[in-house]
Amino acid sequence: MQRRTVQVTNRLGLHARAAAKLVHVANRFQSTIALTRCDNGQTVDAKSILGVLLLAASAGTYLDVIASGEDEVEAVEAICRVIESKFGEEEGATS
Amino acid sequence: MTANRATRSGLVLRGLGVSPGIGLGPAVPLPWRGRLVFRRPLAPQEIEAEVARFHTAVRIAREQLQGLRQRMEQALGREHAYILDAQRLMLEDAGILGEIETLIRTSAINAEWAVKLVTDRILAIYAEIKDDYLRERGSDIEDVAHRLLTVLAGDRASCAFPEGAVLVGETLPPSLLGELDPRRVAGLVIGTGGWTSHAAILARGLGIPAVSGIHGALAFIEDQAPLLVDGTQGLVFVHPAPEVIQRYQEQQKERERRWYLLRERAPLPTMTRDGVPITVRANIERLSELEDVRHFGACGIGLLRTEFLFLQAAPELPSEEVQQQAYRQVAEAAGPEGAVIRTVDWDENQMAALGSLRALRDEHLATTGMGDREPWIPERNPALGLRAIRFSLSRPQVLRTQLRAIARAAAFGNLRIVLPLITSLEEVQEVRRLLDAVCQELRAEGVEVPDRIPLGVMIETPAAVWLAEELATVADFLSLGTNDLIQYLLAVDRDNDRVAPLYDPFHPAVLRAVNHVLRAAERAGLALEVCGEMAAHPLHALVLLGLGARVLSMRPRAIPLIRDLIRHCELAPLRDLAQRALTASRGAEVRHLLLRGLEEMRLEVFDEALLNGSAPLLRDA
Repeated sequence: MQRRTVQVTNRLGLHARAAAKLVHVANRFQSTIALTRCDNGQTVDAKSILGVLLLAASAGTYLDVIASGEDEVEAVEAICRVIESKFGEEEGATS
Repeated sequence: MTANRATRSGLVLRGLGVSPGIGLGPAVPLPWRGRLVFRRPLAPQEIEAEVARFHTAVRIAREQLQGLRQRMEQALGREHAYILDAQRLMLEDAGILGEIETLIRTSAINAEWAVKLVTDRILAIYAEIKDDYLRERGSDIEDVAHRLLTVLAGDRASCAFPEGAVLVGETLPPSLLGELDPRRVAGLVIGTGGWTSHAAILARGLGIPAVSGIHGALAFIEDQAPLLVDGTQGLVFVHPAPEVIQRYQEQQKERERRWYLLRERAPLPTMTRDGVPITVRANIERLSELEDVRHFGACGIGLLRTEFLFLQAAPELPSEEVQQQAYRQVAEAAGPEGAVIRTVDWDENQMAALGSLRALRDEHLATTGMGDREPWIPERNPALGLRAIRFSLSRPQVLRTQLRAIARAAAFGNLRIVLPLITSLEEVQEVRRLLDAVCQELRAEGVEVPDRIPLGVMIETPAAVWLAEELATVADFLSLGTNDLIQYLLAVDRDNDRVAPLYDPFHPAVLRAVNHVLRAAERAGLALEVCGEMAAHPLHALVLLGLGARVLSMRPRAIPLIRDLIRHCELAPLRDLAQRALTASRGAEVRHLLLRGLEEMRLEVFDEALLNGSAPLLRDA
């Protein structure tokens, strides 16, 4: 099992588009991947868009990314990267 | 609907002709948003079939979203299409799908009810979310649920209408208009909405015959029933008799022949018989109409409505880049006479209907760092609310983006800007400051911007009428928007067909207001352009000419007729007529005066238009 804590830093939090991106990434891996909110312990399946949306992780929320399976190392790495990169949406958000 | 009578072959429904022309085709109901869902208990042997039906619906809904996504991506780029991914993922979410399937099996209920129970539960959880922004995302779930229920009901998705269908529905929401392919729609039958509703304006722009005001349209018209839509006279024939169809087809041929003749004369200059040149421009609201501008020989574009950009971008906002490209295309197509671009004329209710409200708030949040903390409440009276220029000034970032895009495109042609719903000088001055700042900023970025981009004011409120002279001192030109002006002068909601008969361009108050504005513009030495439906209607156009209007802007398809009319009339007697009309005390008097005057002038060229009446007020005259 792999585990890492990451902070949601994009301004708008895990909104629909960001959640869709996260689920896309999660679905690339064999491992089961869970996201847990550090503040209240709410845990959801990272491959379920609804789960990720209902997590309602706004900016500043800390999340535990927990993966277990053959590619668990890569999975945690990839999920953390997409969250840390602010889902690639911060620049050019205003035009 | 004012009357209906059964004929040998079927039913004739009478409504409001809102877009002229004849359309023939099978009735296809428009998807309806407020769907009723019923609970139906299943017998044990029905359950497997119901589960299969549910999975088929999910597959179809997924395919529809995929198709929509591709269209959005082509039109707007990848970033914007991403929003639909969340919805598509929901239809792939094993959690949701599994829960619905389990519910069908364990509770032995129909798929619709199971979808409703599960989505209601999810929406309830959503409603508890503390973060405003994330909570609003619940509408994605509503959207998906609606799509599923629509598919389960066996309804066609709007993007999959059979070719040549007549669409029938209580209303035609703007979000749906964006999905319509005009070449595939033979006609529209709408329950509510007047001559100048968005649906009607769009239908006219696209040349789709349309009849409005058929309340409970769907109750009279069954699915697939053959329909003949007469958008000129406001009639809908359900199961039309063969002789009715034949009669209409002959009329259609005759009309096309005349149309051809009118168009042949298009390149000639537009002058009255006594040699006064009149400028005829086009109003457009889609880029696809640029071809019509050339085709019908318009002298530039008098009004570009920019709402379509917001419609296409929904639920996002149109970027500066997308807008700039559109305006550049307009600038290049408009020719030396140029184009007048109206800043967006929408209210928050309409933005909410499009689903763009969220993007609006995001933008506000991203630029000011401040979120709108209070929940959004629909305006009770949007016509008097935060709309048009007020809306733009309340969202300066949206206005800035639009002004930047126009300023950048202005290097490629002659562009002017006009501001809708102005009621004070300050509003104009504020936009002027913003425009100056934007131009300076662009020059600093090394972008080529013309020295001065003319800024005009739409005169469409009583306040602007009485301030016309003062507004002329802060504006570069004035544009008379007759649709809204009549609405505000006569206190008539033009989209409410119950009061639509009160919407009368011949009302003496309207004529006197128009006269007042024309005189004010004259004194100030400013150009005044008349755009609005009045300019496109033969009788009204004659009064406008008589009152002194020299620039008329109208939908492209109306140009050949109006131009032909101008060439056949003399201005001197029209001036007399207009002066007499100004002293009339009733609209009916004005109409009578005019019809008699035309007889004396032996103006016969547009008799057909007069008899058929291309505007509602003539129908019952």
